[in-house]
Amino acid sequence: MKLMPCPLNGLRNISEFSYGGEVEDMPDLKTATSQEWAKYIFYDENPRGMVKEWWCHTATSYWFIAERNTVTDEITATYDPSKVYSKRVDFE
Amino acid sequence: MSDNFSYPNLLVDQSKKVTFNFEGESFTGYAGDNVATALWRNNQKIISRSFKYHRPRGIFSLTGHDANTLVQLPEEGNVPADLLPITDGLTVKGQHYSGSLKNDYFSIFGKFSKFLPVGFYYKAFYKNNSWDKIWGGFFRKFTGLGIINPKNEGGYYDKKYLFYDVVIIGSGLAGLQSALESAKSSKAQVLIIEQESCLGGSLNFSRLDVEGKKAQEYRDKLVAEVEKTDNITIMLNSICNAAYSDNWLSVIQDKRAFKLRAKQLILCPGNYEQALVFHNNDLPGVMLSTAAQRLLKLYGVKPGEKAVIATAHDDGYLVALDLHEAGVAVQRIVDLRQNVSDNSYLEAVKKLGIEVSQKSTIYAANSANKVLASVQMGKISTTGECASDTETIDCDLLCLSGGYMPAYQLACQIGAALDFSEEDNKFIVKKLPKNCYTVGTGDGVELPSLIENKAKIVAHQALSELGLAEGTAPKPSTEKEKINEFAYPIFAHPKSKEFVDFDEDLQVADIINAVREGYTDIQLVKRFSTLGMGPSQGRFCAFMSSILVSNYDKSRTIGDVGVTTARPPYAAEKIGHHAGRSFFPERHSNMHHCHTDAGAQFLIAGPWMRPAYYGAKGSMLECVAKESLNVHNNVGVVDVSTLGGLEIRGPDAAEFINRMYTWNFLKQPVGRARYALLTNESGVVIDDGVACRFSEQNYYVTATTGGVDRVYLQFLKWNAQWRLKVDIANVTSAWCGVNIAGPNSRKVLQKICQDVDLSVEGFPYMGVREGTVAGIPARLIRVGFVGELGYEVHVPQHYGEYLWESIMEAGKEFNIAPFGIEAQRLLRLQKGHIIISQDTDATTYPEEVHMSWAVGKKKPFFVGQKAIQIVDEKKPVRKLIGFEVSSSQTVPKESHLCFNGDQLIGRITSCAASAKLQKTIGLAYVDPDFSEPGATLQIRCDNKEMVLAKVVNLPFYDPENARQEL
Amino acid sequence: MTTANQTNYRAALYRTHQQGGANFIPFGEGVIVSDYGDSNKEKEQVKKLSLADLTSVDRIGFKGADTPDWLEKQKVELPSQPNKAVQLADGSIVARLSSNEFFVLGDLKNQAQTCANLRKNWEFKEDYLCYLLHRNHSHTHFVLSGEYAEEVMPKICGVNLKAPDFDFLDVAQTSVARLSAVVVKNKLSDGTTAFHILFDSSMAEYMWMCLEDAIAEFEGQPVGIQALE
Repeated sequence: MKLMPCPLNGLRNISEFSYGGEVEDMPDLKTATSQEWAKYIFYDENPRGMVKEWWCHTATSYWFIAERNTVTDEITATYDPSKVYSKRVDFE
Repeated sequence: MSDNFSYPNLLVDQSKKVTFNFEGESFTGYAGDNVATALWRNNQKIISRSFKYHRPRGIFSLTGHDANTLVQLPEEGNVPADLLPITDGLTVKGQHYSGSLKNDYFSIFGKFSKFLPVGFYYKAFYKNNSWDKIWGGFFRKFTGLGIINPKNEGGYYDKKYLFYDVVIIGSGLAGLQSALESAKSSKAQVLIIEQESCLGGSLNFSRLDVEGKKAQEYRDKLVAEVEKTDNITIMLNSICNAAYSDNWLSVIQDKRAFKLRAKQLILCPGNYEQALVFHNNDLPGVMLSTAAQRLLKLYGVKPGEKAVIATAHDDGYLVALDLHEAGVAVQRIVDLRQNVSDNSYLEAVKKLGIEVSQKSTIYAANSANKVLASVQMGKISTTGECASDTETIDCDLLCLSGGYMPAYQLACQIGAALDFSEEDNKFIVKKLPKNCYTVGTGDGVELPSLIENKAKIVAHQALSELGLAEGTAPKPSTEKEKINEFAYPIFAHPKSKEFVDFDEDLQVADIINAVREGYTDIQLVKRFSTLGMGPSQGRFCAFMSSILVSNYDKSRTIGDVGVTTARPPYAAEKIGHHAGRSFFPERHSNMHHCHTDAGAQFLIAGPWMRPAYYGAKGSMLECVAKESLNVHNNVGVVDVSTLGGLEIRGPDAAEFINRMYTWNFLKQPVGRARYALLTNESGVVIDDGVACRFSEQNYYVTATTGGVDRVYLQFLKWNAQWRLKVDIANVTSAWCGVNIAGPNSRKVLQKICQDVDLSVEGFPYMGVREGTVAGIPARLIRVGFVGELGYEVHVPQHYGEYLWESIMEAGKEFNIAPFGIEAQRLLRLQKGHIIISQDTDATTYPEEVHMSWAVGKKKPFFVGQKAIQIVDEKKPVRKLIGFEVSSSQTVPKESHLCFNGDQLIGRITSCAASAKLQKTIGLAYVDPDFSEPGATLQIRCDNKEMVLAKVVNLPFYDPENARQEL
Repeated sequence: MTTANQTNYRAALYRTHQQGGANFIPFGEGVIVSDYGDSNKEKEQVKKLSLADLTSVDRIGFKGADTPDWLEKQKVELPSQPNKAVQLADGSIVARLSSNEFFVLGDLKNQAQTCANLRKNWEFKEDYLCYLLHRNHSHTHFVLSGEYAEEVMPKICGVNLKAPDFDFLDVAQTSVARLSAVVVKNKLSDGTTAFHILFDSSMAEYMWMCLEDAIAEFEGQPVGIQALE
């Protein structure tokens, strides 16, 4: 069973985590067409190579981001979401 | 028991006799014998009957990995006799015969083999309905193997996790040396996993040289060193059954399943000797050479009196020397090759007067009394063919040395590839993942000095990865192994019965026919013919079949054909090993025992145990009627502790809730509760609850019992992106609570709560208060879920039982009685309240369940807003409506379908008989054309009984909501 | 004589202890098992392998971005990193679950005032992100101690809790017997290894059953608080 390097808890069995989908930016609410919105919700990029994913450590409810190679299944980096989301998000 | 034969051996204690029973007859063996060796010792050579043709079978590999020696115990079948130690009084039977093991009536099916070709079941029955009526029962009788004992209680199975720096699978030459090299760093914790009951692997029975001393010398030296090395732990009788990512291993030892994480993994699993394929190669008395060596050197059993050795490998000559030294008369060595690789072997056997026939093969083995009596051998005329003038040699033992196949399974499970080297005529494991290595015969290397060299290299690398290596890496040896001449080992016979796969009784023609029918890929050959699907899982036929298919289809090499995918488990294991202790997590409310004391019947809601109704088992309908009427007329109390609770606190608490839920919360007054509907980004309703504002920056939001954990995680994920100043805590277990409901609920509460104004003006409907109930700090929420005046009282969890007792005491004079989940569900149904994931499904959006009123139209954003806008523009395909059915008709159930004539127009989501309303009520999704009050629905109930329903307005009870707002 | 249900504060698990022949004494807000009949035998048992229910021992939690600041103002010593703990002079243990979340366990004699003082001094302050968690209600506290404790934990936990990988005052947040739990390794006053297991209080009866089963292999026994002091 794969090992996942959790930024908070260190190397743990992947059974301690649940997958939270690809990291994606929300399209512009005001201008996105229904097709664009449907694509955002229902489609994954599923790239060949590096993908950014949300993972949650169940016992601590800690969310973090992992960079994984979809070809080799190697997890190349994991970090706190604040590395990507550093500013407050507001909706007008 | 046979004579005074005794031979120095490793496992048996001839001073201790053991008596057991086989097929009704008493047999005596020694302590250390297994059932197969004890029977052989007593000249009982037939141990089982084969799968399809019921052919007599006996010892073949003696490894516990073939199916020729499966026997039946009283408590279970399919037990490998090779692995079953004899104990006094053990009762063993053969399997799968009619009549007796010796005279099996079903063996007549062997004569019909032409009518049972490969793919028989599919061809005979794919269009034919007669399987269920006629043939199924018949075939079940004469196929299949052991018998299950349904009364067998199983046993105490358990699991354990283990963690080691270096794990070595196998303790032969390679394993022992790898362990010693790895343990050179005293900081490294090394573990050896060995499937046998002692260390040594093939060193325990193999012969490595003409003199016959090397194997024992290696063994004695290495085992002694390993046993005195402190940082090496040994697990015997342990089999590694699976190797997963990052060196995660499943190891089975007796009734325990270990889950082992190895930082560095060294696979030294050895190899499997292969057989040869010729007519009657499955007779008792025909066995792998290593089986004969095991009989001799592990158990001290004479494998036979007169032996012939058929070999495609130099090792066959060494076996001849072993047998000769044990007093077995070796009649002939039949060598399929033109040349021996090491001439000294040929000289050694010739010196003993053993005749050798080169470039020859066995044409057929012959039986007398169902066991081997002689062989016919002849010159190989061309690939796969024997010359017609054959010579007959009397023998009762035929040893096969067909070469070797590495035990590649664990390596391939963990991601390695199995390549065929044309140069060396072997399958070799390649491309192992990082931190995983292989050494020894499992690595395709036979020469001890080369094995030693690789063990040093691998151990150094493993220690380097751990940061524990000393010195420089050892250099790879330049020594080369002798290449074994390839000899095609398969000889078809006009009468067939040349078995490629013994487990499945597959003959040469069966495999050829599968390929002929178009199943050319080895994966398809397997599935069409069942090749490799038996207990030995291809260990003894994978190599053979790739050779056979490649020879038939000249466009593909052996490597092109390859072998099928190796999947866990490696060897047989029990479901009990996976189940372990089988404990099922159960969540109990603090009031749990109040319910058991009050006679509750429980239902399982997720991991929670919830009281369904209070009364005798089976009396649910009566109890629901009684409990619900008591709520309408007096006062009832229900445990709502399982309800989810989230504390949302901080300057952005209201902003956060406003973004998650559909309605408007920014201006929610302190002291008020608001219905909170949660949708996901697709606009689908996924949860609901009540948001209580206790102060400007302090919210307590309830969620469904089953949804709260998911909802909590989603909240955290969103705020990880939004970075609002808000703290979210899942406090479900910190609080427990009850709902006191009924016209007398206020009176009851007033007796035990003095510091909150409970009047209708002081505490209006949908208000929230903090105060003290029965001396306990409490949160009170006035909600209308069950349709009567009611208060939810939430207290810190450990006060729950006391709270319940206080309420029951205070409510006595008002005839308070508990009500369960089933009554609660009826009460909310009467008010038309939906239950998430009962009345909603994976596509329900607010408009479908008449919740558009709860969607804030002017908010800048909430999760699901965009999707709801998109979907609302479309024509609705269904609506959730209320319906009623007269009480004289059958009560429909959830998921029953609604029709208009033949047209399917909907399905029921909730339905129950209402004692208060004296009719059956329910909710259903229907086609919008049938959603107006007054429309009729035809509901199809069990057994296709049709019931007439009428669509009505919601709610069913108290449409003015007067009762809950008292 | 103290009865198990004489206080308002009760854990459902008391009935299991009653069936085991427990004697109860008042402790904190509730009661606690003082022994199961023979506290001298239990004192010896603690050194080998024992299980005790410490639900009535006080505990409290805080989380939020301003929590380290507040706790420092309360003069509470804090571990410098997540998944580490410190033991205060009064016996309380402060475990750091993340950069902003702390879990404080009371001492076995219930004499330390740390938890009570923190509870008393904390108040909800607007715009100050330090929030109280009622760990004395949401969680239950068991302690598994003895020389065999390190052999029992691998039966129910997939994280390596053996020395040197896991040391005294290390914290592991992971799954134990299929439940999310916080595990703190510490020493009893005589040096015996002890694993403090904190988990959801609704699972107390289930977890007690799992642990009783797990310790049976090494002849472990439940003990009361007297044996631990």
